[in-house]
Amino acid sequence: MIDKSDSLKKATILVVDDIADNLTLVGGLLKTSYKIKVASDGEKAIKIAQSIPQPDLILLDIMMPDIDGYEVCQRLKANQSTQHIPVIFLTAKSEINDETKGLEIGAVDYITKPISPPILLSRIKTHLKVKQMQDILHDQRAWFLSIIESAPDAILVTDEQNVVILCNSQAEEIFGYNSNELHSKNINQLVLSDVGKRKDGSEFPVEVGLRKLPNLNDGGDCTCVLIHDITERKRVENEIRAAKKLAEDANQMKSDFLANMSHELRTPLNAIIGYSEMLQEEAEEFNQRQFIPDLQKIHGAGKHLLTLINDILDLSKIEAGKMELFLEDVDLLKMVHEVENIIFPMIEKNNNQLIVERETNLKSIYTDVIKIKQILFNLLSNAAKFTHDGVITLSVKDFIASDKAVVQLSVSDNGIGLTQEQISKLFGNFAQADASTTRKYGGTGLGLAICRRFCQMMGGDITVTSVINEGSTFTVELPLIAVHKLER
Amino acid sequence: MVKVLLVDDDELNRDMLSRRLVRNNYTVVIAVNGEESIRMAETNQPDIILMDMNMPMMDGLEATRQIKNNPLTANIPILILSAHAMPSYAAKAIAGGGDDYDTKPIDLERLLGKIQALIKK
Repeated sequence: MIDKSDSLKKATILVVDDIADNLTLVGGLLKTSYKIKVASDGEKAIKIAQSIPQPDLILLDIMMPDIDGYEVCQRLKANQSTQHIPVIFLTAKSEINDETKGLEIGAVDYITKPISPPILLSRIKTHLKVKQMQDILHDQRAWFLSIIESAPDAILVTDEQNVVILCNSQAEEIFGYNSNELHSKNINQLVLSDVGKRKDGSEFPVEVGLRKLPNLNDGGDCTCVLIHDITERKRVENEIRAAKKLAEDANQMKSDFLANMSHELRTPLNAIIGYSEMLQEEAEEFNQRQFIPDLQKIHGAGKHLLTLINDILDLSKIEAGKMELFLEDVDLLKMVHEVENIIFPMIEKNNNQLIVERETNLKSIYTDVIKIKQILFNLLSNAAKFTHDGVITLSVKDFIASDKAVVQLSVSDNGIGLTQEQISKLFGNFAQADASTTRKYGGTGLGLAICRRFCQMMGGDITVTSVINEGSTFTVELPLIAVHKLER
Repeated sequence: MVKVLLVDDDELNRDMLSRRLVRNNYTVVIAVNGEESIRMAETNQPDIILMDMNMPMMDGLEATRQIKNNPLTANIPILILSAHAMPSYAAKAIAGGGDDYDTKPIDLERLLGKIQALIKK
C-alpha cells in the first residue's frame, strides 16, 4: 500500500489575518503541535498556498482589506493546485448567512471568534485527519490508474450495454481511436471473437480475457475486457510452422533420396556379390584356386558396401520416425541359442572363445526379436573383431529394477578396449575410433548408433564400461514389455 | 527339374541369377519385362516365377496381378524380388498377390530355401 510516512510529520498550517495580535495569538496556540506559516493579507495567503511545500490546512479570516476571506477562499478553490487544501474560516462574523456562505464557497468549517482553544485544536485535528484520508484515496486512485495505464495490454471496461466506460492508453494505441472516441464505442465494434478492428478498418488477431465486475457508478455490472494484440506471436507462429514444414519436407526428401539411392546401389551390388560368389564356386570347380583370395576380396567389399547401405537406411528410418517395432512374445533362451549358432564362426575367426551365461528360468519378453538379434550380432561381432585369442561372454538375466521387470543382455570381451574419449563418441554416427580402425577392422561406424536407437525405441538403453587393453562390456537393458517410443 | 521363370529388366542380374540357378539344377526361362512374363507364364507353365518388382512399362506387381487373375497361371507361385529394403515393399508385394518376397542383393542359399518352400506348397 501507499507509504504515508509523510503524514506523520508535523502538519503545516497557514494562518491568515490582517491583525498582527490575532496571528500571534493563534500561532501561539498551535505552534507546539504544528508548523505555522502566517499571511497578513489575501494575496500573500494565496502565494504561500501555492508554493511548495504547501500548507496542509488554512485558517482564514474573512474581514480583511483589499480582498476579503471569501474571495481568497474562492480563488483557492478555483485553482487546481490549491483546491485540495482545506480552509477553515476563523472570523468574528457570526451571522448564520455568513457561515452558510463560507461553507458554500468551499470551506470545510467555520469557527467564530472569540476562539475556544480546545475546540479550535480538535477541529483542526479532525480536518487534518479527513484531508489525510483524502490524500491517501487520491494517491491510491492515481496509483491504480497508473497500473492500468502501464499495462502492456489494452484494458477496456464496458457497461451492461457493452459500451466502453473506461480505457487505458494502450487501448487507444492498439485501436487507433482516442479516449473520447473509444468511450462511445460498443465493444463489438472493436473486437469480434478473436479479431480486433482498428479505426482505419484494418484487422488484427487478438487474445481476449473477460471478467465481470460490479459497476460502482450505477450499481449494475460492468465487464473488464483485456485485449492482447497477438499479431507478432501469430507471425512468429507462422514462421515456425513454415520452417517446420520446410524441415519436414527436406527430411522427407532426404528419406526418399536415401530409399532411392539404396535401391539404385543395391541393383549393381546384386551383380557384384552374385558374380563374385559364382566365380568362387567356378574357380574351385575348374581348379583355378589362385583366383579365390581376390574373388573373396571383391565379395567382402561388396558385402561391406551392402552393410553400409543397410545401416544408413536404418539410421535414416529411425531419424525420420519411420522405423517400426514388430512386437511379439520372444523366448529368450531360444533366441540366445540362435544368435550363438550364427555368430559362432565369427568368434572362432580370431581364435576367441564364446561363453554364454544364462539363467535357466528366464521369462519370455514381449519385444521386437529382429532388433534384439541385430543388437546382439552387432555387439558380438564387434567383440569378435576387436579381440584376439580371448574370451567373449554373452550373459542374459532378468530382474526387477525400481518396480520394473528388466532383461539385461551383456557382451564382455578382453580385447583392445576403449579410451574415455572413444567411449564419449561411441554411440554417435560414423563413430569408429578413427579411420585406420575402419581399415583394419572393417565395419561402418554406424552399428552402435543403431543399437542405441533400437534400445531406446524399445524403452531401454545401452551402456558401456571399458579399460584400454583390458576389454569392454556392453550392457543392454530392456523392459520385459517393450514400450514403443518413436524416435525423432 | 524345377522350371523357373525369371523376370528381370536388368541384364546383369538376369544373367547372374539364371546361371546360378542352372548351376543348382534348375531349368530357367527368361522374360525381360512384365508383359512378356504374362505370356511366358501361360505358354511355359513354370513351377515358380521370380518376379522383379521395379520394371519399366509394366512393373512386377501389375504382372503378378494379371498372372494371378488368369486361370491358366493363377496357381503358379510367385516370389517377388526387389532391391527395395523397406519392410513396406515386402508388405506391398504380398498384398499385390506375391506368395513371398526377398531382397536384392540376393542371398542364394536363402532364395533357394524360399523357392523350395513355395514349390512344396
